[in-house]
Amino acid sequence: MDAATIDKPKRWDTAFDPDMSDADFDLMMARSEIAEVDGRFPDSLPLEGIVRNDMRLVRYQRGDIIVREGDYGSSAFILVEGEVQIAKTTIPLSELGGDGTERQGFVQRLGNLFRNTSVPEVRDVDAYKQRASASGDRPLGTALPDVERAMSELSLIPLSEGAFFGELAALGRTPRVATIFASTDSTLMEIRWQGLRDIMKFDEGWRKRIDKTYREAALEAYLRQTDILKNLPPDQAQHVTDHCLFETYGSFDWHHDFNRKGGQANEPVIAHEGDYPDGVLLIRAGFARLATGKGHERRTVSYLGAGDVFGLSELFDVWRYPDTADHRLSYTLSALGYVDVIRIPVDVLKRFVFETMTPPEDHGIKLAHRSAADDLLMEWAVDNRYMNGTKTMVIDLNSCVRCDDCVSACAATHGGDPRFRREGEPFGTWMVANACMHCKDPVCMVGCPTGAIRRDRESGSVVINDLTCIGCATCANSCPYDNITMVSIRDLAGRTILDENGSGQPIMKATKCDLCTGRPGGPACVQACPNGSLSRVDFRDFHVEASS
Amino acid sequence: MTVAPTRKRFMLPIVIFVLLCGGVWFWAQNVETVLGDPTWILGWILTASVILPSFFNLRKRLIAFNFGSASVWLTLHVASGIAAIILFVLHTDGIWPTGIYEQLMATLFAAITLTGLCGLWTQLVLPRRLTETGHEYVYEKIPGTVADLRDAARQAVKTYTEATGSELLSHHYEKSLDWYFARPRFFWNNVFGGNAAWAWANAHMIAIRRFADPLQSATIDSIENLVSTKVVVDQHYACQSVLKRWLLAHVPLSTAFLVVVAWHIVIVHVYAS
Repeated sequence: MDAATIDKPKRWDTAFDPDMSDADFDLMMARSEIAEVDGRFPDSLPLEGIVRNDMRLVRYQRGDIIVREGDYGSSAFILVEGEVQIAKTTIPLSELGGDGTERQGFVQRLGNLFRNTSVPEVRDVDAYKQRASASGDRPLGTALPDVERAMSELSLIPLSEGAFFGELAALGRTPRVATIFASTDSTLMEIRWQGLRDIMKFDEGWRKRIDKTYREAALEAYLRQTDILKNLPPDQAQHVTDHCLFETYGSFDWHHDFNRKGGQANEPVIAHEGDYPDGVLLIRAGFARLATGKGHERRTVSYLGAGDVFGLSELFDVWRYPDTADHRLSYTLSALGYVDVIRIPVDVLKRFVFETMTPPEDHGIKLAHRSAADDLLMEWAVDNRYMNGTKTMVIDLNSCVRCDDCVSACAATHGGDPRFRREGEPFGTWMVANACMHCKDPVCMVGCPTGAIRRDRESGSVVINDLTCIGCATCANSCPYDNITMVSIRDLAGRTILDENGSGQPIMKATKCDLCTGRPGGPACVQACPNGSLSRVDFRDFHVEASS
Repeated sequence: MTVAPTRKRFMLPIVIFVLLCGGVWFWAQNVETVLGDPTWILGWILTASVILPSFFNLRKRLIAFNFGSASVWLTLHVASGIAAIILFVLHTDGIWPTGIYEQLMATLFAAITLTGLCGLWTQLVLPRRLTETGHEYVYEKIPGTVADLRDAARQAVKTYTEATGSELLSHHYEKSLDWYFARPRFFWNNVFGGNAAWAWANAHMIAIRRFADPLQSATIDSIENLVSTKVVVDQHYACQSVLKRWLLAHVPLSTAFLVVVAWHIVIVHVYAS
């Protein structure tokens, strides 16, 4: 039988700006930041291709928000024309498209008892009509509502033509540290992380510039927080900082691959079991699987996340017992999605670190006491990427009486509409339910055009501001766990609300578990479970407790 | 985080409440020894031990307020409910009442006790049984799942019959297994952990398999797979039905009992004064 054929999908099948004009392309190519790139790019990855496919020109009006403090971005910016401002003082969330969550008072909670309706997804339409809009009738969240006041009252750092910003958050998958908005009509070149990574790879100028920024802005402070380096004197810490190497494995867009392949998703190997290490690997962002080969299959021992170290016990043993220690790595480390790694070379460790540090824990001793069955739960969690969750909903099926009190409590707390489904992947006596896990790497937050989905500054939960959500479904499509649901909303009379100006289509909103932010006592689902079967867990802690 | 507490969590509160009941009994004995009457006090303690569990239901409805974890409430509910049984016996001296109103009250109490203990048994035993099936089914979706299994079984038989022209399998299916696939079956046997469903279905498959040609064997194999799924689905349906429905007896009976007790207290106080 003849097979159906298509062109093999390629990296640049979908350009960052598919409608980019030749004039815009020429403008970007002529910019000194691009024209002065002198790296040798491979034929398969020409600089022109990167500019054409991984960059775009974005034009902002005065007051437009370019990046929001706390957002997770995946691109960096170069200011081509105009002026933008970095807000040194925090701009209130209400002006950025977020909604400050406040602790609910007695009256509000009493009112909740009577607000629940049998009509699903009821909203107060007047609230949408009365919501504050940004200047020039732009949707709130895309622009500041009062740019004049912002300019006069906020403490600002102006950036002018040629300024390069956003690269650390883009490369490190960390939240934006400040809000930046256009103070005049401005044009910016935006480069997505894939292009940024490739230009850094082949052009020394870009690499040095970004490395220098990172070392100056964030690295030393970050290293000082790690267990192995926190006690170093400042001058020695500076040496370590100067000699660190940066490496990135996997893909920012790991969720696309995971959505297609599940547990068979690509996992680039960072270090092989049995290899000789040349330095310690410090995980800066993302997750990596720690596994050892057993028979024909790997055995997952644990996973490493931000702040964890790989290869330390092996190198330390070699330094301490040079004649007897085994030099080889005990485990294979592979990237679960995207991993940002800092490599600290072995000679730096020998000169500055080993002398002052306490001997590291040997995982091998712990592993020797564990049976293969003990690691099955961890294997399952890692295969399903549950380790990404900080508040994963886990149900003990042995004691869960399937009463759905958790669902009822969730509905009662959210106007009659539950924000999770008591369904999910069972494993042994455990089930991970379809509820937002409030991930460490919240891929749902990347690309929200209005900043409606964000991490709560106090609790750390990922929440959606219903008033500024425009129903684009970017977050729902990105969530690897299918935990964000798009719903069509209704008015208080139960009628579906339609778009009056556009297509006449129903107005959609993204909904998900908000961890009952603002409710005293925490998540209602946990409180309501009569057998204590439902927990919100960080999987690493959960694994230890469940295994014991 | 906390991993779900085990069923042993009920033990300590029950022991404490039973010991308290022992103290009450000892006190009552002393009062009777000096020709006093402990019935009044016992009655009020019994009332308290009956009202305390009823707050659990109220707590479920006031979810917007932080009245503590429902699991703590359930533990107290069970412990005080068991204490109420002992206190009831002390209050009535273990004698079945003679008045009609008192008999109604005693009957309601017995019914609450029985449904409560049955409910406790279902909560402690059935979840594990469901987990051991290795599959999870949402109760509300089970009718749809059963319909899918029935359609698949009928389709398998239909396909075989159309392919061979033989009515042997279709006739046998219509007279036996179609009944099984029509809706959830062997309800109480599944509740009590029996294996009657599989035994019944297996017997009917063996009965037809001995006549089977290779194509028919393949069809029977596919039906057997559907049967093994249906066995698990039926287990979930039966056990989850009981887990959900026992409260439909326990809660109304409790409400009725509280109303009757309230009138009992009024009457007792009116005549006593």
